[in-house]
Amino acid sequence: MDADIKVRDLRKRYGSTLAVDGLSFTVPPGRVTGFVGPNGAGKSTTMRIVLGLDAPDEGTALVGGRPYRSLRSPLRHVGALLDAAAVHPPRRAADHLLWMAQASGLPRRRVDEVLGMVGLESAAHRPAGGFSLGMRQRLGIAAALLGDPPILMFDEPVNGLDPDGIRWIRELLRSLAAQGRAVLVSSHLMGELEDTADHLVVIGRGRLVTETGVGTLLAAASGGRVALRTSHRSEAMTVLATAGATVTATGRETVTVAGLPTERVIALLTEHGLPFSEVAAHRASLEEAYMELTRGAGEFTAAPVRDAS
Amino acid sequence: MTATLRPARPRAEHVAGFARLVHAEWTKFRSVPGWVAGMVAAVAVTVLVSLLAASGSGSDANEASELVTGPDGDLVSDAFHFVHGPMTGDGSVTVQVTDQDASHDGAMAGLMIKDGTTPGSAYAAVMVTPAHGVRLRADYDTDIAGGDGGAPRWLRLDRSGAEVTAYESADGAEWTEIGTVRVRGLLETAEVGAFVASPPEMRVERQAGSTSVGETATIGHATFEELAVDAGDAADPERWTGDDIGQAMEGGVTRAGGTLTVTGSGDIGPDPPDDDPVQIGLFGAVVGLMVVVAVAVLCATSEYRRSLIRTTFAVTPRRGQVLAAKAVVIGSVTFVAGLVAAVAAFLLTRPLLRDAGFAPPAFPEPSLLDGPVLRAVVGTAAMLAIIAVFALAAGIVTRHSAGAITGVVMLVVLPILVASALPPGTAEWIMRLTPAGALAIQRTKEPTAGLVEPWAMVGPWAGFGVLCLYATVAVVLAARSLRGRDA
Repeated sequence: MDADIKVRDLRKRYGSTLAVDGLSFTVPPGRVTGFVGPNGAGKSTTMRIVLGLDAPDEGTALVGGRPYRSLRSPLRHVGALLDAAAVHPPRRAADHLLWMAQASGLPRRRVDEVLGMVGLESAAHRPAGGFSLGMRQRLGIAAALLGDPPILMFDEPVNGLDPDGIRWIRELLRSLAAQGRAVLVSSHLMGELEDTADHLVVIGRGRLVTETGVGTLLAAASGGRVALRTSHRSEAMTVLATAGATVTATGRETVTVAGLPTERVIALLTEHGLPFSEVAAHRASLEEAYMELTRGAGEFTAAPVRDAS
Repeated sequence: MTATLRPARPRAEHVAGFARLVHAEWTKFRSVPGWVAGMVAAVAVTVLVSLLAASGSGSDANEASELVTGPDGDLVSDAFHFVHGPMTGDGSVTVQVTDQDASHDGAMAGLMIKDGTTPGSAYAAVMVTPAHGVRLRADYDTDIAGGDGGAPRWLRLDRSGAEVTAYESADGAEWTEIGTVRVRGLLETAEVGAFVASPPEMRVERQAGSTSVGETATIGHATFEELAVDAGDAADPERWTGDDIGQAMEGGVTRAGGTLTVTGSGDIGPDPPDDDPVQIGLFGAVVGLMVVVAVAVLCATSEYRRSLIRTTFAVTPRRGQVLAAKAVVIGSVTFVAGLVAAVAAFLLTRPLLRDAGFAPPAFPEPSLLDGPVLRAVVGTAAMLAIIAVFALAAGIVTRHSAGAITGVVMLVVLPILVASALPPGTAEWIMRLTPAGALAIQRTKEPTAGLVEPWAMVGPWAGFGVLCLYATVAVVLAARSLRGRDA
C-alpha cells in the first residue's frame, strides 16, 4: 500500500457555505506535510472527508489509494487526531483506547504501549474528563498511533501544549515521518510548523493557495532582501527609495530593503551620513512568507466558513 | 510500516469483526460508571416499586361466601339448569336441540354427564352455542371445538369408563365424532341429562382511573326433542327432574309431548379473579423502564454531544454494524438487569401478596416454572431490553437527550394514563397501537376489561409485538440517519 493521502477536486457545501471548493493536494510518505490556512479555510472539513466522516459533494479523497470507508480495519492504515475534546469525561484514559483497540482487533498491550509513547502511563487509570487540554492532546495522539498506521493526520495538535509539549510533538512528528510515514499536520499558525514541516499545503476559503516545499517558499520570500536597523529611519527610507529600492518599515528603527544588494545599501547610507547599527541579509520567517502569499487575497481572515479550526 | 491491505474477508471473519465491535461497545458501556449505576438503579427501582405496589394491594376474592372450586382446586363458575337422572356404568345419551335463544354469544344448550349436582364437581358436556359453534367441554379447563353453527343439531355423549366421547349430527343419522375426554374420578353412577346455561353480561365503566364492573344476568331458553338413553342401568328421561345448579336462577323445564323446553342462567368454566398477583409483583418495571430509557438514550446521544461519534465511525466506518453492536450491548445488559429485577421482585413480593389475600384457592400459588409466570418474568426482562433498543435508536435519530428520553417515556407511559380514563373499547385500541400494551406480557391471565390497568385488555404477545414493531421502525430510521448524515 502506498502510504499517502490523495485529495482530488474536493468540493463540500454546508447549506449556503462552500467549505471546500475544488481542493486537490497530495500528502506523500516520509515527510511532514503542513496543512495551513486561517480558521475556517476548510482544513477540518477536508480531514473529516478524508476519514469518511463527511461525504464530499464532488471529488475524491483516497488514503493509500482507497476510500477510507472501504478499509476493514482503518486504524491500522490511518491514525487521526481530530478533536482532543472528544472523550467521554468519566471514561478512563486506558478504556478510551481499549475500546478502539478491541474494535480494530488490536492487542490490549498496544494500549499500554501508546500510553507510554505519549507519556500518559501514570494517568492511564484516571478519567479523561479530568485531563488538561495538553493531556487530552496526548491522549488523542495515542489513539492515532494505536494501530501503528503508515498514514497520520493531526488537526491542530499543538493547541494547548506547553513549550515542553510543543518540542515533544515536533520531535514525534519528525520521527514518524523519518520512519517513512505520511504525516499531515494542520495549523492556522504558520510559525508552529516552521521547524516541523518539510512540505506545505496552503489553503484559503476552501481553495488551494500553494503546494510547495518549506525551503523553496522561504527562499522565494527572502528573495535578496536586506534588513536594516537605523535611528534615522525616515531619512534612510527616502535615500534608499530614491536609489530605486522597495523599502518597507517593519518597526520603529527597522526597515526591509528589496532591490538593492547589501554593499550598495551600506554605500548609500555612508554617503548620506546616516548612522546604522545593523545591516544583514534578510531571512524570512514562514509567517512572513505566508503573509506574502496571501496578500492578494486578504479576505481570507473574514471568510464566513462554518468550521472554526 | 506494519499495515498492509488484505483481500475481502470471508464470512467467518465478518462474524469475528462484529463480535469485536460488540466487545468494544461493551467496554464503552462498562467504562462509564454512571451508566452502570443507572442500570443498577433501574433494578433497584423496579424491585422497590414492585414491593410498594404489592404492599398497597389486596384481594377479598377468598372471602366470598359462595366460593366454588373445581377438581383442581381452582375457582370455577358452575351454574346452569340441569334436567337429569342417574346412569350407572357405560352408556350413551342422545338428543336433538331444536332451538336455542341467542341470549348470549356463549349461551349453552346440550347434554352433560356430571359427578352429582354439587357445584364444582367433575363433568363432560357437549353443547350448541349461538356464536361459538358446537363444543365439547370437561372439568372447566378442557374445550374442544366441534362444527360451526348452532341449533338445530343432534348431540350425543357416550360414556365408557372414565372416558366420554361426544358426537354431533345434522340429521340424527350421520354422526361426526368431536372428541374424547377423560373425566377425573367420574363415579360409577353419574347424573346425565340436558342442560341450559347463559352467562351474565359484563359491563365495565371507566372514569378517571377507576373501573367499575357490573354483571347483568341473562336467561337462556332451548328446546330439546328425541331424548334417548341407551344404557344398562339408567333412569328413563321422562322421569328426569330439573334443578338449578349452583347460583343459577329462574331456571325451569316444561314438557309438551316429547319436547322439553328448558330455561337456565349461569356459566360453566374457569372463573379466576381478574386480579393478577404476578403482574402486581412486577409492577415496578413501569418505573424502572424510565431509568432504562434514560441510560439507553444517553449511551447514544453522549457520543454526539462529545463528538465522540466521529472517533467511533473513524474506527469503524461500517455505521450499520456500529448501530447493531450498540443495540446488542444495551439490549443484553438491560435484559440481564431486567431478569435480575423481575426474579427478585417476583420472589420478594410473594409473601406480601399472600398476606394481602392473593392466596389459594382464588389465587393458586404461582411458581417461577409455570409457563405463564415464566413468560411474565422473562417477558418483563425482554420488554425492558426492547424498550432500551427503542430508546437507543431514538437517541441516534434525534441526537437530543432530553427530547429522546421524554419522547420514549411519553410513548410508553402516556397511553397508560390516557387509556385508564377512557371507555374500554377506546382504551383497548390505544393498547393495541402503542408500546404501552407491551406491559401485557407481565400478565399470567386471560385478557380482561375488568381491571384498572388498561394493558390487561390485550394479550401478552399482541402488546409485546407492538413494542417490537416500534423498536424495529426506530432502528431502521436510526440506520438510515447514520448512513445519510455527516457524522
